[in-house]
Amino acid sequence: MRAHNLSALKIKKIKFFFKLKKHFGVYGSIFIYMVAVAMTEIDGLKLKYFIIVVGKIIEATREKRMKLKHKIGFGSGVFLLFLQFQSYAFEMGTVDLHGFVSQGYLYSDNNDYLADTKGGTFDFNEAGLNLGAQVSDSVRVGAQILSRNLGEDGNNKFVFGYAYGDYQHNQHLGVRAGKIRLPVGLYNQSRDIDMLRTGVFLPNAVYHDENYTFFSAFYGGLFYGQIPMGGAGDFEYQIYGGIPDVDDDSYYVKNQAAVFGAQSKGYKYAAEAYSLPDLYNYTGDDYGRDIDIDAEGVQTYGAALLWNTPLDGLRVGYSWLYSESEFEYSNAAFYGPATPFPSAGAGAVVGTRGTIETHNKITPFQVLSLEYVWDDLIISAEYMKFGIEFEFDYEDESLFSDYKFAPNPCGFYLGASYRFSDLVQLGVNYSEFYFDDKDKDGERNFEAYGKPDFLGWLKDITFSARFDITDNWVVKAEYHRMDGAAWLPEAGVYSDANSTPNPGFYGGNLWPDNLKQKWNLIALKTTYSF
Amino acid sequence: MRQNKLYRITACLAIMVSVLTFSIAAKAELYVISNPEVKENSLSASNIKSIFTNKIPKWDDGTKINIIVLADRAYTKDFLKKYIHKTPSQFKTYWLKQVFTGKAIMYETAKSLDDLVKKVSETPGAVSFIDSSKPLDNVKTITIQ
Repeated sequence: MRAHNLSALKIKKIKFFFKLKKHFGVYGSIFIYMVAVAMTEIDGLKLKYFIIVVGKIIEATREKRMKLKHKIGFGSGVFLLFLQFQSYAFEMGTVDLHGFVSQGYLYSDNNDYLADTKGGTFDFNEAGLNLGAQVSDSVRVGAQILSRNLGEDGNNKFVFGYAYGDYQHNQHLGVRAGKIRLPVGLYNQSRDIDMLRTGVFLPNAVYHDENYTFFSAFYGGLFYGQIPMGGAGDFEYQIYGGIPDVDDDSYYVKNQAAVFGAQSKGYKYAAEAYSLPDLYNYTGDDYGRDIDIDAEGVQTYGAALLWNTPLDGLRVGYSWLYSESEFEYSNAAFYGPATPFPSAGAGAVVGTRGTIETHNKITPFQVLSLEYVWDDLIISAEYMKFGIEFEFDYEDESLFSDYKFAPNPCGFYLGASYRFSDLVQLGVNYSEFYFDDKDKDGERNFEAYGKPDFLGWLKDITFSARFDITDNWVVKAEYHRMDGAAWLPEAGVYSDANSTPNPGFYGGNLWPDNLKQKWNLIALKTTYSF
Repeated sequence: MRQNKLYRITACLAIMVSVLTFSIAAKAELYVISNPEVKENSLSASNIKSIFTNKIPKWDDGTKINIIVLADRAYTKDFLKKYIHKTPSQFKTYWLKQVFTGKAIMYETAKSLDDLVKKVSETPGAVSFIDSSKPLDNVKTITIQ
């Protein structure tokens, strides 16, 4: 009888898993399945009840979620699911379950920013479900299932934001292993969680959303601890190493793929426009149309140090990160005038097709941080210096030999926020980002190649307002006044490659028409958390 | 006549000051309380800060520290400001950051003073703080050094 029951339960488990898979993808369902198993083992809660509850929630909300997904975005669908989850969240005993869901709106005038923002977009949301369980006095396990979307980045694929085991020996030493958020600057580990900050965006000068994939997380180990220093405050450290989690579905990778893909559409046009010899026999759209992308992390290591000074509320940090990854674009095509970077040679004409491999090294990324909290006032400032080496290997090197470019971006911000009441918090922020710290006026890297000099910088004045409507519900509004267009994606993901030949990311002469120096961005966002 | 008025005003002021002083003296005090099984009898202010900010995970005997906080912010404001150097809203945001980055499990909240005492007395390794006019029964009061 008992055996019969168990096997029935097993069948139920399998059915349950496939049901989950249909709605949440493989990773999402593994996560929820893990929750179920953890609860059964830790809390003694009957798995079948959990299956019934989650199954009912999925079924009950499916129609609503699907409808809403098409109407007003994914976030709202998940919101409904969360609302119903909330009523179960408190019955889970020693398993700590929390979640959040955010939906944003972006509108910009002259330049697109991170998504198709000219004209406005709702293509901006995050949702996360966090699970933590204290297994023993020293051991804890934690995981976050995360779905994010910002333009082409993330696309609401469910992934593990983090998933690790944590052994804390004492105050001075602990170790984590698994998938871990990269500790860079003061706020990188919490950058996906909207309700933890005043503004909608973290300052772009340090927390560059274009490069999110390089800085999100890694698989490996991390040592951490706190060392009291008597009258000199205390010192916190995190030292880590592993493999970076670079994602095929990321903005950076897609932007690069769009460049390689878009080029084939403009191939014939470019040959005519630049009076090029018939370097290739143009054979149609085979190259660049269906690019296969394979992004793989190679290695990363680094440290984040934080000194809580004896002056109450003042902390000073320094973080250092090295990272290496490889992206492979098969079936790509890339053609146009030479890159704006001196290493390729001014005026040269370059092109290639087939497989393109890029070897990306961050050598290193450094952030110096300062934060001062005095009652309801928070002042923060960070300075970032970024060494990059992008090396391109081409299958076909007849016209375009392998090359490497290595600018040194840098940036800083200075911000303040003040909480006026439980309801209202206001913030102001000024940041400057430079594509290359040796060419802050954009003359050498851009102007010298006929491009606008403002591609060399991005200066941003931001005003933010945050309203805590309830303990669980936050609404934010933010205005950015921008000067410059460093690292904007105009020629990449959001270019209309099908109708207009596009010289692409490294292309050149069409850029000045696409990007404007002065522009404005408005961001609205709301987050519900429990 | 004028002198008389001055005396009256002075007397009034003196009464007001003494009433104010008395009310400050009679105001509730801040106590750190723990489960009676916790061995520590006293804690330094810096240890208190480290405990309530998730830096010290365990008591000296290895028991996990379980933080319990009264939900009503009016009762937590003074303690948080004095020992943790945060406003209630900053304290909550700090913990949410710990929780959502996977560094901690959220502290437990108590709905009322009775609920707090019940939870602290029943949860092994529990610690909390109160703003009370007298020490409470069934829980241990830890001296703040």
